[in-house]
Amino acid sequence: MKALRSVLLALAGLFVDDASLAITIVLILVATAFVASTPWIAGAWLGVTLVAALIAALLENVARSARSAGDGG
Amino acid sequence: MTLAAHFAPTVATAFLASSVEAVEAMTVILAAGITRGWRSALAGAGIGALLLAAIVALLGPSLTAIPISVLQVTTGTLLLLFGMRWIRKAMLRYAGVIAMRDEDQIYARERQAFGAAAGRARIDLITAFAVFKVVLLEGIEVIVIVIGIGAVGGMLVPASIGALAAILAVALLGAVVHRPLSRVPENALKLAVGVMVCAFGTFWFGEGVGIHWPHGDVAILAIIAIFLAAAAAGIQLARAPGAARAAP
Repeated sequence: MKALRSVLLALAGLFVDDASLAITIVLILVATAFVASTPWIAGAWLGVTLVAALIAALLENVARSARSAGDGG
Repeated sequence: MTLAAHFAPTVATAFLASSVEAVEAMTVILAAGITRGWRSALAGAGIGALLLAAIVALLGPSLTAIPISVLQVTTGTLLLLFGMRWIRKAMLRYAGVIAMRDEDQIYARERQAFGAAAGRARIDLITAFAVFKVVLLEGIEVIVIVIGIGAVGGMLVPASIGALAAILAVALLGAVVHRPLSRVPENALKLAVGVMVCAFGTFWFGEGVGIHWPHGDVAILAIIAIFLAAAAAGIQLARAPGAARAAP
């Protein structure tokens, strides 16, 4: 049971390293899928927005991780 | 984009990503084999490889039954989660916030751990399980990458060729040199592969939800360039005053 648990935890770890980044990515994707089903933003611009949002999330997370490591957190 | 233009990035991404995973698995297999005997290490690796083959045999045919948009959204999401994790870690390592992965150090640590394990038997179950687990996990990462970049665009064969070539190359090198492949630039590979995987993931997810990318598949190259530029900027950002540094 302990071995299975460790394998399952390791499997989850393949996709989630920093939980806040993973949650942010999923939220961005859900929001993109929702907006794509509406006529609010034209296709190509939604693609640009998706890339920009993903990069913003990544940079914010990296900057925060660096800061919190610097603060000893 | 032409088939040839799509073929090369798919093979390259699968090869590079799989070589990173294969090097990580090889480090543990070598440490286990040299410390606890090859019988246990190879038994664990063999069972892990068989289970992976079974997963591929089960997943492969079922992929064709999944609607293309569902496949695009699912693989796109998994690739993004997977790729972003790699980019983030590689950026923090380049910025000095976390320590670089050192295969020699990991090899020494694993050898110590295997050396401290319970007494030597014909098949040492602890060693076999440790190797099985590593082969299974690294193999699943390879499967995710191959399916993620190959399943949607009809590129499963080139992606599989890239992955198999990497696994064979690392296995051969490991068998010849008999020590961890510490000269492989693991962090650079991880950053490059993370960028490519994220670009594929963003593209497939977008296609799946109905985004019409400008210039079709060529947009993948533009997304790769944008992610690469962002990663370079992010490394500088993490190096800024006030950010942490890992001990050398």
